[in-house]
Amino acid sequence: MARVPYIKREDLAPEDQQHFDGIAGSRGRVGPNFSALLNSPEATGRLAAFGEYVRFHAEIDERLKELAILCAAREANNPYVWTAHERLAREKGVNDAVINAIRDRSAPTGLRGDDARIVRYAKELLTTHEVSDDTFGAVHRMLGNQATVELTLLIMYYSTLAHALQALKVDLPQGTASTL
Amino acid sequence: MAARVPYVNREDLDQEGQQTYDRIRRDRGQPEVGYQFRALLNSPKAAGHLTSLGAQLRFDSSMPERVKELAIILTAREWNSGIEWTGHAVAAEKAGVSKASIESIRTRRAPQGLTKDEAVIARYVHQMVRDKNVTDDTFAAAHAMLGTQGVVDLTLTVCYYTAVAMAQIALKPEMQPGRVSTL
Repeated sequence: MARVPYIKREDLAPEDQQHFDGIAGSRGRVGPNFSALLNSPEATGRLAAFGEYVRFHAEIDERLKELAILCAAREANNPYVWTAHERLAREKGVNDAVINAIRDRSAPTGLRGDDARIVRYAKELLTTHEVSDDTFGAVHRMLGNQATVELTLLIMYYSTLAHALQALKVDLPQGTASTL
Repeated sequence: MAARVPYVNREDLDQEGQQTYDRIRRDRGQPEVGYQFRALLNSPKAAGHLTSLGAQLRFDSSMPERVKELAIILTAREWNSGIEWTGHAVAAEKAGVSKASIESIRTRRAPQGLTKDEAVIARYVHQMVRDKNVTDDTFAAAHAMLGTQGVVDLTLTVCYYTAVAMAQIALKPEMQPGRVSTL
């Protein structure tokens, strides 16, 4: 069990049910992650809207997005985000070697081209908390102003979500085993 | 000097972006939109959603003002954000956090030097950010103090200020002209 109750739609005040419906609409369902966070309905509704934008609408290659998300889950040691996005990363064509390199923290060593540029950026931001001019420049040349900001906020969104799920000890969805 | 991306001006934005720009200014009661947000406005929609979350957590929190501002300056200290620290150290003092407590956070001695309930919040923030693991004792103490919605708001507040501070690490926006970091 998580450290806070999982909120069902009927637990919410009528004016807050829109947040539940919004999450179900964009994600297909309300998982244990948002169900736990919905103890603060308005903030969670706004967090989910932010996440929906950076996840589904940011103009970054879907495969590269998943690499950045895996880095965020890895650095936060969060099995929930990792397990969900390892599967999605595979669906978008990320191979085992790349996934394993992020999981065992050896990446960007062994990665090439855009993959290496994205992972280096995410790792510098998340682990040393200092992004070098070279690393920033490589991503910026690749993505331009808007998508560089969106990549940064995508990493931040998943990093913070992963940290929140860690703090609240949110369980993986039923029947799902951690692959982290 | 400049950030690593351009500061977006109001007139650079389309109508929806300008509404976001005006809302950021209005929510925060500031005459101008801060450089940190103008850097993020290179993606007007992402900036719009993020600042909407921020406004909720900052202006409509279920936590008492004093605890909320304490959590914010603890988070700003963790990520070395001069921009967040400088504004919020003033807000924390106004909300009743003592100068001595603020100084103990700034110099990284906290939770030493804090009152008992401030120390609970400091441990929660430190464990969340540093250890990625909040202990049962710390969680229970924060929950007893703030209740269920309060502890979720505490968690999301640490998340939001971590996100904006780390975006500042990446994009390197400057302090507003005329402001000097007190961190």
